[in-house]
Amino acid sequence: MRTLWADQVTRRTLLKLGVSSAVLMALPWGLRREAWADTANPHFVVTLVGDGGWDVTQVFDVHDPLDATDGVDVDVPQAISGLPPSQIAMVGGITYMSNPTTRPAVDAFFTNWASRSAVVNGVNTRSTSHDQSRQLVLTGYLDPTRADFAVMAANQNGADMPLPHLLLSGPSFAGPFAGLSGRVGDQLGDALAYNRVPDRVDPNIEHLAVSALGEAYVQQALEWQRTLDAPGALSARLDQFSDANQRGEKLVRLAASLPQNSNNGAQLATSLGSAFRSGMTTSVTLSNVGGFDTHSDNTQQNARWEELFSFLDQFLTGLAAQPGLRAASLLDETTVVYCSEFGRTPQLNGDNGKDHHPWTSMLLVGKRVRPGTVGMTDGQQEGVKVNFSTGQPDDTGQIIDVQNTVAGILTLVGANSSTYLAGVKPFTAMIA
Amino acid sequence: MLLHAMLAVLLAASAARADLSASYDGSLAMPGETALVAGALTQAKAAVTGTMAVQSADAAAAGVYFVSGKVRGPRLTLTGMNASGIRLRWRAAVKKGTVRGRASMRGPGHQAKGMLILTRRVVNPPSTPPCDSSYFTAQVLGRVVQPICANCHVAGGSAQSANFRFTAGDPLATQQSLDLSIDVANPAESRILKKPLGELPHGGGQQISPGSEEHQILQQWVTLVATGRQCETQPEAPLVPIAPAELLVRASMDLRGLRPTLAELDAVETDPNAYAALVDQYLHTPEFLERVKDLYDDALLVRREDFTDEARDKTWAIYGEALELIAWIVANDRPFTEIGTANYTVANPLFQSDPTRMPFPMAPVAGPGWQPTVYADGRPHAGLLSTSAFYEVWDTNNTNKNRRRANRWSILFHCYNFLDTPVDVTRNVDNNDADAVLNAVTTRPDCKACHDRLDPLASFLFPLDNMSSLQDVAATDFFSGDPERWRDANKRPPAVYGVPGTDIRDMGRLLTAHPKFAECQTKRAFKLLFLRDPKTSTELTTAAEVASHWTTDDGYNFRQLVKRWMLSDAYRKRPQTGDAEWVRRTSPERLELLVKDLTGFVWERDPDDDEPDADPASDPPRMTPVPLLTNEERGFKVILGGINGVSVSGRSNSLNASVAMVQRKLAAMAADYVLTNDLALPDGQRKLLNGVTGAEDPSVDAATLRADIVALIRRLYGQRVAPDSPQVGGWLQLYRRLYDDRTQGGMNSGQVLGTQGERAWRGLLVAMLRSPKILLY
Repeated sequence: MRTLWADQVTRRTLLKLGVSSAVLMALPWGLRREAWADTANPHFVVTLVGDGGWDVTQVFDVHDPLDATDGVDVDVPQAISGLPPSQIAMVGGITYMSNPTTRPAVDAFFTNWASRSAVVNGVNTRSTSHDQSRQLVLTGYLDPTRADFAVMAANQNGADMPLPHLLLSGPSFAGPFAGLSGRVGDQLGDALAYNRVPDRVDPNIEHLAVSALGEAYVQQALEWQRTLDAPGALSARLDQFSDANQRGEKLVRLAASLPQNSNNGAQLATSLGSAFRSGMTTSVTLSNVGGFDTHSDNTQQNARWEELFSFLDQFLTGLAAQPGLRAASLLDETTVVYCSEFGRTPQLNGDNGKDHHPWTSMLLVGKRVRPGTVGMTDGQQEGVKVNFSTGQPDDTGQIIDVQNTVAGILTLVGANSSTYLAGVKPFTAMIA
Repeated sequence: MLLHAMLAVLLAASAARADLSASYDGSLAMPGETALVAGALTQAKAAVTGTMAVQSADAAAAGVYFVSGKVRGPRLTLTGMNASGIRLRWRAAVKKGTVRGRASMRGPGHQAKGMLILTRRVVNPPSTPPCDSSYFTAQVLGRVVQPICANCHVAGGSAQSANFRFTAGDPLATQQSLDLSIDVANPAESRILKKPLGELPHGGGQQISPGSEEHQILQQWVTLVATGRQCETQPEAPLVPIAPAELLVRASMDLRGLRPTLAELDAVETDPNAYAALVDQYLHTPEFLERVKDLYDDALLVRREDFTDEARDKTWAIYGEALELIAWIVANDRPFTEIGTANYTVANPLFQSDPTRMPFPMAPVAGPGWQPTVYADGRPHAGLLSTSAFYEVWDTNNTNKNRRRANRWSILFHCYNFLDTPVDVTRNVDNNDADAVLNAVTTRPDCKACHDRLDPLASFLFPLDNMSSLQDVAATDFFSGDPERWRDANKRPPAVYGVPGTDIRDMGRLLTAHPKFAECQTKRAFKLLFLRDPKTSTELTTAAEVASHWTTDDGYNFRQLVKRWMLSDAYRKRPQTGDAEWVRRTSPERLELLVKDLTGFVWERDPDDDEPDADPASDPPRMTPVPLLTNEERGFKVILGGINGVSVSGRSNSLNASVAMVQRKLAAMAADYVLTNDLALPDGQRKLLNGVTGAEDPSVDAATLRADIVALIRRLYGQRVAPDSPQVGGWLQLYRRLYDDRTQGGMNSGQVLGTQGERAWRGLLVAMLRSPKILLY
């Protein structure tokens, strides 16, 4: 009878079979930590999605509040809101809308990070439906078989990692790369300690379901059964199952580096930094600020911007303070992308709110980002034709579509965008 | 001679008065630009009507003009207007296949003139006449033409003048019509490809995306027609019958989330005809009703979870009203059309227990379960359409005008999501100007293509304008909005696909009377089983047959609908070559139930006393544990592919590292539970370890162990194997290894409890529960 098993379990046998960390941790062979990150040229991506459709005229997409010919209402009139009006500010090559009274965190952010940030204005989302636009902004398509740029970046830069794309929260579209993307619930650490079972009397005590050696035997047995099942009805997905388990094995070894979702930017930076350095993942998505869908009382946007930029400031500070795998800091090896599903109408409606508008902006910070503002909207807050290399208005250029920004982000992270979005011209003006 | 001349004139006139009904291609040469034009004209005596789509760089001049006019002899005069308010006037001469003349375009701030030439499209019919093609019927018709094109390209539709027309019930006629849009010489240039992509002027705008499945299906058909192979039998992966026991395992998992009992497995292996009766049995279980609720919540997204343990069940009840109504209709064999027509709803005492959370008066129910009742707030009852929480979950506002709600009902009743249409909302519409938006959706063809059908649906729902939150609403507010608001809001009277109605009772009646209802629920019943939409020709052909029988023979009985699928070849056979889409991955709901049934273990925690008991308004303390795989608390539900209806609205069946590790953890805890509990119980009361002493020594008890393992395989996987099979041998070898493993044994934390036999049994169960056959089937 065929058997895969050696009569004596040796280190070589265990390694050949790719046994779990449980085994390795129990054995004095010093194989405690392994990294699968591309240490030659690490490029991490953090995608943040602001939920609801942000009013970009309040920060990114500058329109002079004093210009009567410009059809954009930046603020709810002071006579109604009691709040001082916004004003145009410039820091480090970024021109933005400032209001030190209602959203001081914006000023602080750009003071600290303008030199590493790019703002892309005038992006056409083609839709004003929340669900549809989220998919369009992240993938460029309405096609459910398409992946979003965070997942594609993961495939590009970390396909062999345990969890190349880590979804902490928010929307994500894995498309053909579903095996590379996984959610991490708050208690996934429980699952990663899969061999521990609570005591029957005192649940604070945990026993092992099997010994470390027993775990090796279990894995051998399952592999043997897999070969027997290979011709059977489930054969088409056994490889996926095996791959998932192998990645899970790697994830277990890195359990200490499992990130925790947090609304505190500094904590998240530390947590993600650990995950990046350990080789667990290369791309993370989260949606930590919402409430931008202000159909009434647009002053509610202020608190959202405060929250967003306070968080982002802390987060970037946290990344910058950590050493990179090769570069001076982790921020030097990370690109942060902040987006929302669409913008808001240029003028206030009857409830002093703003409705959905199919033009939005994006903020990019970090690795390979060329600082400055690119792209532009007109007096109706609709995108104008721009040169895709410079990002400056150009009648011979073209409108920036979400497909172009997705392709551009892929280019930024080192991919050949045409591999993923055939025939789409990448918008590259924000790339250093 | 005068008579001769008059006759000649008359003959000349009649010869010149050729029927202009046709499709046309042409151009409009203006200063600085020559615009492409596509037209479709219909002539009735001297009257000519139709559309002309102008593709111009001048945004104001571009778009579709609805034209009308007269033809007198060789002279044609047409006038029309586009959505930008540009008026077109054309005086042309008709000569053979060409219509040519000066056109003027005038509108606000716009004036242009040019030579407009239209040439009648010469249609070369394909060399092969239309034929009975399963690919055309199932794929082209079933997945593209019917759900998308047939909204306009039908008699009475906005594209009725076009050459291409869908004829209901006549696939050959539709095929013949569609084939006229295929350019056999240049297939890639075929109008049937370019128009729905928006690459040629198309009154309906872009309807499909490049590279999408719909696009690929059309491309495939074009290729077949161009190469004269459209009538060849299209090969599909051959199907082979599934063995009886394997089939029953699938059926039981699909319908319930449980394995068949050993007796049931024996029954079908003895007599495969027993399958049908067992399917019937499964369809009458409470577990099946739970699967139905899961299925319909995937479409409705109304379920909400309360993270306060004491309010958890109440919240689940309040937001689950629509799903409980569906379950009641199914359980009581009511016609499934009652999801739109029932003159009642359902409630249980918990649902009715808290007027601060469910403020609408109802006739009280008695007894513990969900029962029919009625609201006493004056609302008309129309099945799901009059349930309460839906309208909080799917709220609306002044700009949305109930479209969101209408779209969700369209998804539920007709499987049609208006947002699936890839329309570009950007150009030439000031979203800030409500009047401009209203003008666009009522006049602009690419907007009307959807809004002509969506907005009348929404018009039924204006009485529900004041229903936005269960917390901030008065007891009489549910149906207190202005039913006539449509006159200003969207200018479309309430109607379902052109058939008018008055209130939601009409809406429900019309939605369920429409053929799309049966098609949709048939497709959804398939999805209950296969976790995807029908795709193959076999599946699509079967879907059409099942839908037909459901309406004519089954009285819209949902169980019968599912049963028809279960008895079809599409279900009872599988692809001979492995197909990953055919293999299911258990949902979190099915996995929790499966493991509980097999082992008795539920991953759960004790409830928290999380409301102040001294507060008379607080809920009574929860006594039952909180399951962890099927709620969001620890993230496992979403990790395992479930939804929460808010931030996660689509199920996932993928396999990834997170899923694998949750299964491992579940396996370890369940195995330990079985070992602990089973060995404490007498034989016959155990879940898995009947006949096991826990002290089996593999060196002397090998035969007994083999028999035990055979029984485990039977129970866990539904498979019958021989004691000397390689499968059993492999598991026995594992038992042997684990039995001999003395490492890390002990009573302390971080050690393995138990005797040699207990350790071996636990480890064996861990491995067997980690098998892919637990997650996949």
